[in-house]
Amino acid sequence: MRDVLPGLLIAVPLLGAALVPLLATLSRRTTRVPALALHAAIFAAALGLFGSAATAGPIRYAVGGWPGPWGIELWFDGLSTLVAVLVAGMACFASFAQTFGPERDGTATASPLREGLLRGALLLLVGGLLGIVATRDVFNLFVFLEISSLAAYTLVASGGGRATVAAFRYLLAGTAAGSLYLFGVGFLYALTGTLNMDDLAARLPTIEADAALTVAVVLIAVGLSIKAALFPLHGWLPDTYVYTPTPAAGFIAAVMAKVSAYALLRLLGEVLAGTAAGAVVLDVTLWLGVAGVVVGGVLAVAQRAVTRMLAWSSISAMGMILIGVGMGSALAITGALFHMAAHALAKGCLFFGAGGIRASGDGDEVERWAGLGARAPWTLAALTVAALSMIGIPPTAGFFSKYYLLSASITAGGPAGIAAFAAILLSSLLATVYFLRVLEAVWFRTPGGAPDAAASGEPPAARDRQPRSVLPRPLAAPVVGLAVLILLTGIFAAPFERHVLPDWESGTARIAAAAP
Amino acid sequence: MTEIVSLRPLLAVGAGLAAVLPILLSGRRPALREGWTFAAGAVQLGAAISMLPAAFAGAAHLSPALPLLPGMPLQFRADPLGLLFLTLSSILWLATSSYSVGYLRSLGLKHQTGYFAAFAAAVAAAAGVALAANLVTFLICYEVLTLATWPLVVHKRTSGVLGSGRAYLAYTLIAGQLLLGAVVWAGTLAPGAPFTPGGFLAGTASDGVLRVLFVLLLVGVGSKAAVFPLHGWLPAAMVAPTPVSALLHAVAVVKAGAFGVLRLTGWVFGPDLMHDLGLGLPLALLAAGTVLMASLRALGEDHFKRRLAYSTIGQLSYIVLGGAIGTPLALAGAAFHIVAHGFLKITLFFCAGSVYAATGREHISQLGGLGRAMPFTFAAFAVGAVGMAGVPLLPGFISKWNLALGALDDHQVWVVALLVVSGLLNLAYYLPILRIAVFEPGDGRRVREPSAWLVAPPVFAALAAIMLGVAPDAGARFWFLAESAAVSVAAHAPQFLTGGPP
Repeated sequence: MRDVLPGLLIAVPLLGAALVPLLATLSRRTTRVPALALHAAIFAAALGLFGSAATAGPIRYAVGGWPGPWGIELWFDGLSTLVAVLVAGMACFASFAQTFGPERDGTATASPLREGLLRGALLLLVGGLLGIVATRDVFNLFVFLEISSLAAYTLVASGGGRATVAAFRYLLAGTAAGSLYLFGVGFLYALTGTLNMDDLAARLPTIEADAALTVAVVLIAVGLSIKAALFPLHGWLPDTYVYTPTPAAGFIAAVMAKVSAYALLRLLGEVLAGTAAGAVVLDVTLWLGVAGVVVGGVLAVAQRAVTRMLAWSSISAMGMILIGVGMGSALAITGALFHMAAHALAKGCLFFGAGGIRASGDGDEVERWAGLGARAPWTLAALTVAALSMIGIPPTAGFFSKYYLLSASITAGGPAGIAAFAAILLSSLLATVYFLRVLEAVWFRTPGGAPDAAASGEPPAARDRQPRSVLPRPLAAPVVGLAVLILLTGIFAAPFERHVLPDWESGTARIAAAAP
Repeated sequence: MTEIVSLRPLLAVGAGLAAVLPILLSGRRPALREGWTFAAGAVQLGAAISMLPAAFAGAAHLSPALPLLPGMPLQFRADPLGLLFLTLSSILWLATSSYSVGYLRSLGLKHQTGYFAAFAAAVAAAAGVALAANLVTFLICYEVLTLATWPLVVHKRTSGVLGSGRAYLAYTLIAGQLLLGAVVWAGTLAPGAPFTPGGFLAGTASDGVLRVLFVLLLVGVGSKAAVFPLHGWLPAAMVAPTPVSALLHAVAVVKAGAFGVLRLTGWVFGPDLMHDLGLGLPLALLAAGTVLMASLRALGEDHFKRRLAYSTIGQLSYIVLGGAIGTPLALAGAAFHIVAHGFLKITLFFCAGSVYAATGREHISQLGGLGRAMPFTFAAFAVGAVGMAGVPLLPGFISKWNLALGALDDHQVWVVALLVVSGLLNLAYYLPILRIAVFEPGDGRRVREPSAWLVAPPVFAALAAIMLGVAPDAGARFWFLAESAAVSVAAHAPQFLTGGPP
């Protein structure tokens, strides 16, 4: 199993991306079942690799039988399989929700072919992201970065209208990011003559520290930081998240920026950690993460539209993840990865929910959400769990990731540690403000903006005339499912730590040992 | 202390939690819905009682640990202090539930299903706070408690009420974040340490760090305990229905805060360390200031429930005071005051609610004539009022007496003066209520006692208080629990050990 699964994990989504639209053209029927089956298979493969890496140690897979440092290698340890599971799992939910199709505002028409193409784009996106997660080759990483970006532009633009503009903006930012990264890789290749990460890590210490190396490190860091929406390089994010059609928004908001943050972690934390420039860049990342946490939180408070508020809260959360990356201790990395998982589950849940509510005509402003809790208690209860996880209230997953990051900040100490500590606590408070405003409207106010005027009288008759459901079922199921996962992840997180931490420690130790 | 690994602590915490979903699902059948509440209350009380014999024998039930974080398991332990709080909250939950049924029905309030569900969640969280074996478990239950009580506070759903709810959350959640920071910090200093009688932080960090940590933890738990200047939310939260106020004050939120202060001073820092760091006296002075401030504010307050709220702020500061002094007798008095204040204050709130349910009156100046019209209610009120002031044969006397003795052990003579002054102030703001109700004429409208659902609970609570005052060591043996909790702490602080309790 360890021999074939790594290859299949990347190959299945890429092949599926071509097959599903083809199938749609040929059969002119919905491609829901085949696409869902493919996603389930990918998820199963990711889970299998996770289990295998946990029980039998990390897997090194040489693509096409060409071993490194010349061939392309894939590397599956606790960290990468975890992110892969996250990506593949969220993709299952997104694929399930994708049946729900275009927004109901009539900007796009549903046809089997169009649906098939969008399903293909989602598969392509998943393939690209899994490639970024697994690859051990810095140029190959660029290729997967572009694959995933192109698929994402398609999905964003499929909303039509303002989504097209958002997609174009995203494309400009993404292209700049990809180019900067590629330049950086070019410099590294010129300096060391290798593209394999392990080989790079081994050779870099022998290189004279000069301007070219510094430029390479900075270019790579800036490129990936744009994709990871690190403050102040986050400009593309809010519009993209707000205007992307719902199922895709749930997936993109949940995992895309995080996979880039993961790549940043791999390159800066592992491969380039030994260089002087790498250490400085990590420090800068930490401070920018602190700034992003605060700025994202403050601007989220300022928003009236729920989806835009969620987008700014994502910038805050990415800041938090990058604080962990910048800090670099094993505890901090665990916190960062845990926060990736917690935030992906919660943000996916919230975007599925908020986008779906917007699409079904209940609007996007906090005031218009008043009284939704009475109409759809289960869905809104699920969204409440996700919101509590974003705030960091126990026993949801968000509490535990914050615990790790706070713990790491205290252990790190110094000005940076204290700043990170304060910023994380402050971000929880800001999240309290902006999420409890929503929860108050949902549960304790009645439609019409005014609080319950008829506190002692009859409930307004209008409530009974309104439709019962606020979400189409293909969206409601993922929302509730994700909420359950948020609770379970929080409580049963111990294996996580047992599994991920040692792999990170042995990985960095191995690289340190390989250096002469 | 010997420990028995068993599932009973989990049962005590889980009973209320397990009832939440059935309550929500049986919203259309009120009798069944309230049946779930009573069933959960009975299970919780049964679990508490079943753990008492072990505590009497000097052992403690300990739940299996669920590993959550590095070295920080989710775990519950029924030590004497926790068991004291758990038993109290179980008894009072049952009383409050029956009172709630009468109150909600007689006033025809809406959202009853959500009310009972949130109530069950809040009591479960309070039970979790009581039995938490370490800081992380405590923090988790504490935050759940905050959120579970929010729907109860904003039950009326008007704009003003939602505003009060925001004030409540602002205080408690900000404090919760500080508590989180402090818990994480303590977790890095002493990884995985459970609550230990006598504290576990000694020698883990420099004095300065420990002082900062103490302040953070104190603000975290003290804001729920409404210690001055963090008390602002409590009078505002009086917008809640009366049974909720009763629960908030007697058991759940405020009392959980005071309980947290005791855990902090006795089981995290410990009297020795507090003494070495010079933290005891400032905290005692803060508590004393709160007592006086709250009593003076209560004198000038005409709103019935808000006067009771200020009284709570003052009374709970006795508990903080006991924790700050840290001698065995002071700790025992403070722990016993958790129970004493619980029974007395719930009586007073029940009476205020009965008045509101029967007449719609919320202000003390409007109470004229009600004493004769509602004899049972006001008889119970009289017991609660004089009990609060510390009159002998009522439980408030026992806690204050031991607090005073404990303070003298530490040569803090001023505490005795404070207790006397505060007792007089108590009488000064409670007796006028009785005077108006009994001696001033009514407005001529006929008033009768409300239904038995509303009369029985305050009478029961008042009788229980009398029993507790006469024989504090009967039944659940609350005094024994308070004393053994104090002794377990003192055993680790020998310099304060100055003879046994009376």
